[in-house]
Amino acid sequence: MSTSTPNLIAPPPPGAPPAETAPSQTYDEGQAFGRMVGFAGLFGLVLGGVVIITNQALTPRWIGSGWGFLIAATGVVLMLYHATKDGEQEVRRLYGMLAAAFLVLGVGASVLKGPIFSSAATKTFGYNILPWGVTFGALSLVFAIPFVRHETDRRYRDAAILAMLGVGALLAIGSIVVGLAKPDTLVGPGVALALLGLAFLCAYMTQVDTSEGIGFQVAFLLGAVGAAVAAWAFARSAFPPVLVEGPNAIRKVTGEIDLWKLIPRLVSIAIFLGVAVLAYRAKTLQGWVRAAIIAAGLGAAALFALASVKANLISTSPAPYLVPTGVLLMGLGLLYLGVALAICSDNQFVTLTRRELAAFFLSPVGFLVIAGMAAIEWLGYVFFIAEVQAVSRIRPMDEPIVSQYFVALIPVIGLLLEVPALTMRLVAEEKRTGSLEVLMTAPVNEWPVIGSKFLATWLFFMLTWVPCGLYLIALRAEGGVPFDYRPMLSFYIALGAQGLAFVGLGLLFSTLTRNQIIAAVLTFAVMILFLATYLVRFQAIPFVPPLLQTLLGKLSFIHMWQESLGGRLPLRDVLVFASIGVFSLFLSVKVLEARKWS
Amino acid sequence: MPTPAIQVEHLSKNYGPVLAVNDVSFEVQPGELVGFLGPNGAGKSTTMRILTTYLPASSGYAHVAGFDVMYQSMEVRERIGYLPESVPLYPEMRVSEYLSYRARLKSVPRAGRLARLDDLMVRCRIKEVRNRLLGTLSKGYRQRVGLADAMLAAPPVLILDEPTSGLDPIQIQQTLETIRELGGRHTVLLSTHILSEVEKVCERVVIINKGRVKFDGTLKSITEREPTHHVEVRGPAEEVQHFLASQPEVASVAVLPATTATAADGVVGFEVKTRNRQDARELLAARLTARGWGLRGLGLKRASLEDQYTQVVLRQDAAEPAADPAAVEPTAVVEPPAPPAA
Repeated sequence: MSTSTPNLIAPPPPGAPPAETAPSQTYDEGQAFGRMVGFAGLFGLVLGGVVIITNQALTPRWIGSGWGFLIAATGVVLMLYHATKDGEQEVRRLYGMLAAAFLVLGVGASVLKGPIFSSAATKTFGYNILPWGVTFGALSLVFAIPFVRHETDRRYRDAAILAMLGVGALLAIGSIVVGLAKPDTLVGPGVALALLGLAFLCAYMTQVDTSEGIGFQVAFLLGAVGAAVAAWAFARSAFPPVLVEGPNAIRKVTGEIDLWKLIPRLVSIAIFLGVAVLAYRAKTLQGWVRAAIIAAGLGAAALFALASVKANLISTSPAPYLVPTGVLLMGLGLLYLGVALAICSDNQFVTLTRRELAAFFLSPVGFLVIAGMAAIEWLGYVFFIAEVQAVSRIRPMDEPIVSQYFVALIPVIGLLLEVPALTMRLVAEEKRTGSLEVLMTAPVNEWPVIGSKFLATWLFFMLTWVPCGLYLIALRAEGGVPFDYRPMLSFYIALGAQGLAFVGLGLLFSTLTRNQIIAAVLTFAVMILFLATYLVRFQAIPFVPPLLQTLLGKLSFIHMWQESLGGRLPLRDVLVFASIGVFSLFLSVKVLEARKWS
Repeated sequence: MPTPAIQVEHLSKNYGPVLAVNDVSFEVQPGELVGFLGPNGAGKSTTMRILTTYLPASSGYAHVAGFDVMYQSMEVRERIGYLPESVPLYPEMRVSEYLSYRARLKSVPRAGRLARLDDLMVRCRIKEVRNRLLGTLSKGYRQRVGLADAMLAAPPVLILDEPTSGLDPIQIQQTLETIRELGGRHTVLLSTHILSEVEKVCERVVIINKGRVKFDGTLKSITEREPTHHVEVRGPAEEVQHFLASQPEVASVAVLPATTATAADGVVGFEVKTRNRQDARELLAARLTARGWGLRGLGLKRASLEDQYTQVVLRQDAAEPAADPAAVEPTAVVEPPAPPAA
């Protein structure tokens, strides 16, 4: 390293802001290491690309496609490391050009008919979109972001940001428009392209200020489009069946009114009227937005009311729309709306939650926890695969096979360690550094402060458990045999409820002290207690009375995992854990308020 | 008379057995720049924390802009900007990100928010570090980011706890300039140890020691106080004292304790106060020399904030624990000055 000369500071290009000089000029050490990594990455990418292409275009080679993908992926990661570290003009421009090249590749792969290397006469349009078009697009995005962050020349930077906006808007809105016209395209490529477009738009919005001006308008339009799409998908899915059924829907077969069907109908009418009233009272929104929401709410309520009294508004039964098109469109629309709100809302709770979430991603702790949990879940997955292979050699495995997924001890240990690591710093750190004083002297209540910390940590907690679902997708793709995946959904619901309880308790302990270690130890102790309830449930412990044993047994989270993975989601236990979470949230707020009780 | 910007009535605060603030009362009118002085541990920060609603008072009332800090905490917090002593910031955020986040938290309207941030960054001289991580900033920059944060929502009342600590002399000047520009439009309560800063910026000072207000008055009232003459004469001490006291211009005479240098020569020092703030140096010199006594030295000493401060703090230390009820009155208590701290 000592031989590398310090980089000379290049004179800033005309029009650039003056170089940051305070408190003293910093000289980077030579970028030799980063550049070596970058070159190694480039080598890997090219090598992997050659391997893949030769395998695809010619007969399978000695080194297979799998190795090619691995080498290319490693190369891309190494190059990304270099791209984020090295802001030198030549380097960043090269990576900018790489991003553009990937974009061209992605577009090319999407418009070419495939399969490309096949000699068959029948080639279909859009064949390559899903693996290749989307992958190249994503690669283009991840290399464009460091380029934009490092670029100091306004013209290049603005051009790149504008390109991000253009691509993002085209993909996010275009795929939905196509999906509306041809619902078949939505499953698979449509959703993938829409998500990619959303990612481009998010990248755009993080690079411009969304307080006002064009950044805000983009975010606002994204939210408006999302809301409109979700509303339309809901209307398209719900209204035709309701209108076809007419008043019969709320009557018994004998003709009298069925109370249990009438109540949901009245509730849904009330909800839509409520939406209209809320929009009428939201004076801060722009006029046309309020008018549109009021009209939509009143219209929906009127339609439900009309369908309840008048029969035969539509006679022919429409084709079912809800699954999968309606659900996908609603999901995408709500996602757009949520992202837009999260990015540009001025609501205090949203602002605080955004900061808390960002704190996880701006510190190494967040990435360490994600990586650690991914590794731990991978170990659990490996044991699961071993079990599946061992059993299926003898006999076909009983469904649901995922009931065997989490019997190993390793994920339990992961959970025990993860929760204190996430929650210990929440309030304790703010108390110790004194930033709680800055926070609480701003016009903001205790509830949003605690609630935002809670929500952000819970979201992050759920994010760390996403890999275990992804591994199952890998199993499905690699194994080629369909299996019942739905118990995973109930597992996630159970995990979400437990997350409420654990994060809530961790937050409470963090609120009680200004020492992070104490908070972590207390949280860990409570987690161990929850773990012990599993033993209490299944082993008679002499000094525990039977009633207490039954009660404690209800708190066993491992038992809940087993039940939910077996497809038997215990709703009662979900409610128990959720209420523990809400109660500890309440206590945390009271503890924070208690400094004012004198 | 308009509502006082800050009104503190018989405020007390104890942390367990420790009485941090003891029956403090003062008022600040809108637009006033008030220096809040006192030694370490005098209760300045505690008073400020009560005023910013972060801590409750043990007894007494405090109003900011007419709102009670205990029961109308939200209204108070919407109207104050607070710079805490240690300026805690989130180390992982960037300067512009942090200010933008705080602006949203303080409901600075969306329209014009960018321009507001830009203007503040220029005024607090942090524009050049806008993209730096807060954790990498030096103390001076942290102070100025905190000041920008306090001024974000253009609050009518600013409460600044040692805004200049950790700054270099140039930065201190610039920061004080920024604070002085705020006067008139904003009410500023500013705590510090450094008296010369207060003299530069503030119109009024409140000196607090051991949790009690010891002095509350304008700087003008201190400098307009009767000047004292220091007279050193060689001669019979009692006779000289009688002679000085008998002069028509003189209000009071006190004998200064003899130092080794003066005692050896038979020189006695006197502190002489005149009526109506006259400068009687030449008169006294002529009359003393006419009596045949040797005049060693004659000087005029005008009262300064530093004297006042030293006096208040030292007297308190000497008089402990006997509390002086007269001292908490909002006007200056003029008493014969204590011997200069040697």
